[in-house]
Amino acid sequence: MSFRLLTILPDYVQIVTLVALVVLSVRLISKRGHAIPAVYLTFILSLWLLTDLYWGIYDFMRPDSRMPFAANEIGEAAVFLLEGAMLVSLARGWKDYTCPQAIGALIFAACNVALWIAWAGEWVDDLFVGAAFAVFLYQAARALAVHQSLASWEWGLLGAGCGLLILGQGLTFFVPEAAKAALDTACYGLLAVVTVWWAVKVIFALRKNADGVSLLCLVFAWLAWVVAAKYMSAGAWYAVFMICETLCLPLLYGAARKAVTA
Amino acid sequence: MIFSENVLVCMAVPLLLALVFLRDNARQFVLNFLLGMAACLLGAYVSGFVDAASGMGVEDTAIFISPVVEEAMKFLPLLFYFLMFDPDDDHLFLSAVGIGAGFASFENICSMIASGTERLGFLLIRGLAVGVMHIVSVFAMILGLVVARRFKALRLSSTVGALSLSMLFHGIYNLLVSQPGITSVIGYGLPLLTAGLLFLALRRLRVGE
Repeated sequence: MSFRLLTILPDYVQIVTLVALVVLSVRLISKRGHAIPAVYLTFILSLWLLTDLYWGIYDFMRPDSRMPFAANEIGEAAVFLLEGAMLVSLARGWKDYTCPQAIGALIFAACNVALWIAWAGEWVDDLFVGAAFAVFLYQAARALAVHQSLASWEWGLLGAGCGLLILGQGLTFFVPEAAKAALDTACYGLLAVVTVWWAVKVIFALRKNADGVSLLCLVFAWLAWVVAAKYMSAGAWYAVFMICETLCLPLLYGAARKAVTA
Repeated sequence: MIFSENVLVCMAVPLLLALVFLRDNARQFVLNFLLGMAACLLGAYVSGFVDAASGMGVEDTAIFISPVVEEAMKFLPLLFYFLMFDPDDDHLFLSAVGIGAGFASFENICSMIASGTERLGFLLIRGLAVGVMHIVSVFAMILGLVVARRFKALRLSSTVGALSLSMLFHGIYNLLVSQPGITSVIGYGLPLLTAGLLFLALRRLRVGE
């Protein structure tokens, strides 16, 4: 029972957080008039809230059963597309810009989708959500590259981390059970380390009073990583990454507010 | 087993005739009401196909797939109208309410024929819950599109966002009422509550014009 509480409580905390943020983002639209990013933010948070509610209600009514393809998958895909669109709406002169990092992000997204399919076998759901997730990752990587939010050695480390993660998760399908457990633990460790690294980057940007758009790019990148980590996890780790995701949400609102009011 | 096509023909003929005598907004509303009924029938066909093709079972299809299919069916004529004619907000809301009302009415009639008309209480709950829910979901969808257009944020992503807003609302309703008890009570109250909230949002949007 306590373990079940551990896994459902973060969902309810996120719902409460999202309710508050939806109200704030609606107020942001009315205050700022024609603020396109604020409209996108309201869309994103509202859909995220409904998706979480759907999942929460499902989990309450039908615990321990796997959800079939449903409206919340479409909601999740829409959230990813809107996040990409919000980044593009803040773009200044990089609408047609493509960089190696963005291609790398697409490859990482494709590997993630392949892993989801291998784990769950839900082709339709995973391809549908995965395509939207790839769009989000692509835009997030482009935004980071244009705003030079990461140094080249940081890009290198991030790329190596992503590669190791995919390799580690891929190997779990082929190695014996004991090695699989060790590999899983190593992958969770890597996911957690990179999550903390993104958090440090965001905190440093906050302390240096970075401009709203640069901050938003970093928060989106952190969010993208946490979402990928959440989808790769199960049990307590899933709850941990969900809490990290909830922590990203007020930062997302704060960064969007800063970008809109600038 | 009911023959929904026959019901649709019987309901549509007088409405089609009425179109000849009506003008302006009244004609637009009746036309959209008819489109809503047709969308309901097509939605039932598609849901039936998905049920047969996926083997999910009638109940799971009704709970999980129908919201997706039905909202998409309501969305298509509205999207066509929105993109081809670029109507003003009021005409768009009029069309949305017409399609939602037509959809809900046809679904309610088919449900009454199938389950009987003896219990007024049950029928009232159905009318106030499902009936309002279809209007609310399509209205929320159009509100999303109108807001996106007004703030020049109309892209594929916001269009998909508006559609998924209605799908999620419909899905939450279907999920809540799928089991008896407190969840179904909340489910039956949800459309009326949301209708009130949407009314307030619309008033605020009109004040802001």
